Amino acid sequence: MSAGPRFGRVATGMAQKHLDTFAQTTPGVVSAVLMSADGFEIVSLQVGKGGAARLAAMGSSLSAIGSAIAKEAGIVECNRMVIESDSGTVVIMNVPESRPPMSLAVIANDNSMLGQLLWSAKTCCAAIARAFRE
Amino acid sequence: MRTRKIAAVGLADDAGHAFSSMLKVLNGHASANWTVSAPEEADVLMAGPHGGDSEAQRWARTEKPLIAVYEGSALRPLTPYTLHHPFRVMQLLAVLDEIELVLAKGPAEAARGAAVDPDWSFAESLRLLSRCTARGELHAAGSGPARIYVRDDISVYYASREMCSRLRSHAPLLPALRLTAEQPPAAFETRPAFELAWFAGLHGPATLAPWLDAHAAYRLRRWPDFGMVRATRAQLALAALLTHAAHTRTRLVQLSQQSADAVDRFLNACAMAGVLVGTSENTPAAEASTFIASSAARLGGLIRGLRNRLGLAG
Amino acid sequence: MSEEFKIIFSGPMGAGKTTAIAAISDEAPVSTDVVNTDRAAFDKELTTAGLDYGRIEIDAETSVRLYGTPGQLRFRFMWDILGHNAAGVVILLDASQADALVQLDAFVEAFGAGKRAPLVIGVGRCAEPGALALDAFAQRLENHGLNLPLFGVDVRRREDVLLLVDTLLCLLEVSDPARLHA
Repeated sequence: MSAGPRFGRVATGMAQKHLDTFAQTTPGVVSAVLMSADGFEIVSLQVGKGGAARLAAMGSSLSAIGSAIAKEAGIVECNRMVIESDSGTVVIMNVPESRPPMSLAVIANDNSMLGQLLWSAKTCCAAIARAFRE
Repeated sequence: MRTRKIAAVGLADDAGHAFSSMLKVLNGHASANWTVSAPEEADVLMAGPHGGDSEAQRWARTEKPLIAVYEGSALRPLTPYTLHHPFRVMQLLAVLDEIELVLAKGPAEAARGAAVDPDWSFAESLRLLSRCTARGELHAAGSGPARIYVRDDISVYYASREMCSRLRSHAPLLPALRLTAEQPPAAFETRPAFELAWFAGLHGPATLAPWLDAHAAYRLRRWPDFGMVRATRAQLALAALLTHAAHTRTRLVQLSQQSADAVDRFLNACAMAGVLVGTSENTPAAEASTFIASSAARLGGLIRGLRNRLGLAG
Repeated sequence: MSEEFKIIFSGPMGAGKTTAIAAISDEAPVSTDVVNTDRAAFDKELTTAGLDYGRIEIDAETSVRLYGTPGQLRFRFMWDILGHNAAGVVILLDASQADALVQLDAFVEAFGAGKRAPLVIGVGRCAEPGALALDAFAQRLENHGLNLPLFGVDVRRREDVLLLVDTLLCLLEVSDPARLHA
């Protein structure tokens, strides 16, 4: 289900590096998937093959529903969604101005701090966006 | 257990071999004992597209069950019992068991007088045609602009635009189809024969067709393509009833609260279109739906409301 | 009390689910279209990643909700979420897609083959060159021992969408045990 070549070998290679750096420098990150808006895994981190594909599909559905809710509520753009539980956090964040549109899903455990997680993820998304523009 | 005889004509070599070995396998599992015989002695004929025309023609004049075997992308014959080659032993078993139910009830007596009633002659001739092996010929009925032509494989018919729309709305009285060497005029439209068969049944006389049994229970083998022949609400309701279980016409009138005429016409149309099968009464249809619909009663008002909103009334 | 009543439109990408819902919804449906990056599977610009949502208001308290699922198998989890407790399911297929029969099997199975809730199947683009005949779909169902309503339709025509919905309603009525034992 991985659709790497469609998204460019060089850019996906760089995206993978950014994802690695993000995970190494951010406490509590368990796994992450970068996915196209229509639910294909582009690159992933520490998730089994099937798991990444499933996470990509679910993440893109949530992201699409999030955008629809934001539009309905008149707040134009949904930048990120946070799913919180006692044992961990899932963040789904849109990669800004990316072509094709894509999102990053991050799963973190209870060692993470939400503020730090969001800030690092945002930085990672910005770097990924640059990689796909170049 | 009864022994029944079955003959096979017009099967391709591989289908013929497969058929004989399947018969051996299914004996002991089927509700009758099936042996192969010559067509003259058989209770059932299995006819494929590879020859055997004369046997099939003779067979068509009897009221004995016919299993039409068709292949590849050919259209499904408009007869109640069909098998698509290559078929599996379980499919053969299912068809033979269905036929045994009918055979066990004895011959349909009503069918004999069918041809004499002129109101039924067109429908009857179309029905007989659908039981014959196709030879690539045309059959025709009527004259002038009201003439229609039918391909003997019951794939398409040809008629003037005006005649096509008359067929859809009511039944022009047509005589029996006869073999013709003529070709239809170029201006005639080509339409699916399923449509002709359906409307010939639906707009025929408002009594049960002579070849149907007024006391038998029937169910739908498959739904008619209501995308092609637009169904009324009443017809959708009858089709839905016959999807879940087999019902006699009396029971259908009761359940649907429709007139006996409407029910008979619907059964005739389904029979003409080859989607109706006779079975023992109130046997649940194969794989009958068992979804829990305890909420359906509560939903009654909602269904009415939705129909009103969508303009689906009546 | 408002009733739970939803109808699901499902089927592969490009079969017309979004179009069908738009044809009968009171207001423009909510859609979650995203850029389609898999143009090899189906050549169209946008595809549904989340759901389509339309609504038909019956009266002040009651309405029928119409949900469209994403078509691709990777969104199967959405089929289950949306299909839960559905009053009926409309499966739309495209006869010109080479794997249409495999799609038929997959969707019919995923939505309980008509046993959990009534199910009707609309097949589009039957007349396109190289398209499968409607009979091939009917034969496939018959081989599985299933008898489900199966019609050739064009969901750009409102009357065709209405036919599918009305058939669902008829099946729902028939499944009403009170009526059957009346």
